[in-house]
Amino acid sequence: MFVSLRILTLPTDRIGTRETLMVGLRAAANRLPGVVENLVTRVYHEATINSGHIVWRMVHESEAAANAAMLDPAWRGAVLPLIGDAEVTGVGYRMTRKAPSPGGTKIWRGLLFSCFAHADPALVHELEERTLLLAKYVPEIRAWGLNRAAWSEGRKPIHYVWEQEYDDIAGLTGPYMETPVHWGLVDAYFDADCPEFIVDPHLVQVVATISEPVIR
Amino acid sequence: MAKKMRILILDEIEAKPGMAAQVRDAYRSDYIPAAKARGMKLEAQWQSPPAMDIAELPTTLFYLWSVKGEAGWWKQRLSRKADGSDEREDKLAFWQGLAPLIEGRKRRMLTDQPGED
Repeated sequence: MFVSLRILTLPTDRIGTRETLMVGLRAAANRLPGVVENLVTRVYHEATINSGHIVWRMVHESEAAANAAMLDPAWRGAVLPLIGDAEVTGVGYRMTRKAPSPGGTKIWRGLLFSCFAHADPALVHELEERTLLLAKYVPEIRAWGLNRAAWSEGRKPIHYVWEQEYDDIAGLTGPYMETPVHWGLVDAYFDADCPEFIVDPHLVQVVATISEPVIR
Repeated sequence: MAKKMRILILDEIEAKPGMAAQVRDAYRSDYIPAAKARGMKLEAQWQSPPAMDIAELPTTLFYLWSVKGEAGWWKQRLSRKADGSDEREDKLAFWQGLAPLIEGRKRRMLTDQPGED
């Protein structure tokens, strides 16, 4: 399965049309071929960074299907007119490293980030391995995926998508931030005070409420 | 109410031979005031070789900081400048300025061992 995740940031004078746009986008996406799942929802009001207004996450049968969807007449005729005024931050990735949702979760969070072009590959590997320790040692993370981007679009490149599901927002704002695994081991790669610093400071952290599992 | 965990932050900076005084001065004049403004408390400063710099050898400088609990740690980490912008660029500029003077450095997060009061 291949995911295309897009974060839409609306111009100030279009924010009032968000709900209408979401309804239209759901319908438009359902006309695209090869789409297995389609989540269109508003960005949660808390714990977000550079996250815009709308989360649009489609699961496609394959990467080829995701690419084909963008060449389909329904993309040109139905999708593009809706999102044409929005700033789109997008990333496509295969879900290869994950622990699927057990169900019952209410919060989905995605952290989109990139590493500096000159980053030492050994440090990049360490960052991946240590990020996975969060999944192991934070029981509030009920589902997760850490996947490398196949492509990205938008203001900055995106190399990684680190997704989790929680029972509630407190799992993210509390235990996830408070665990020593986070501030003692993982954050160094994001911290300019540490020699391990390799992650571009332009992060996109997006949170949404969910009614059914996203990470499958 | 649970007692806040004391988190220690240890900088270990290996100055190139003959550069220790410059590194020490830069850290004292540029880093320490900014770190204190971020809520960090300087607990100790040590060095090796002890007591004196040896011109032929690198000198390792240690700076031990403390912060109050996870909230204190994230406060220094996510610090903002007076205009509200991210302070990360300033932090990075300091360390990049120091780079020609040092062999390498480490920053480690420490706590008491489990089970200690």
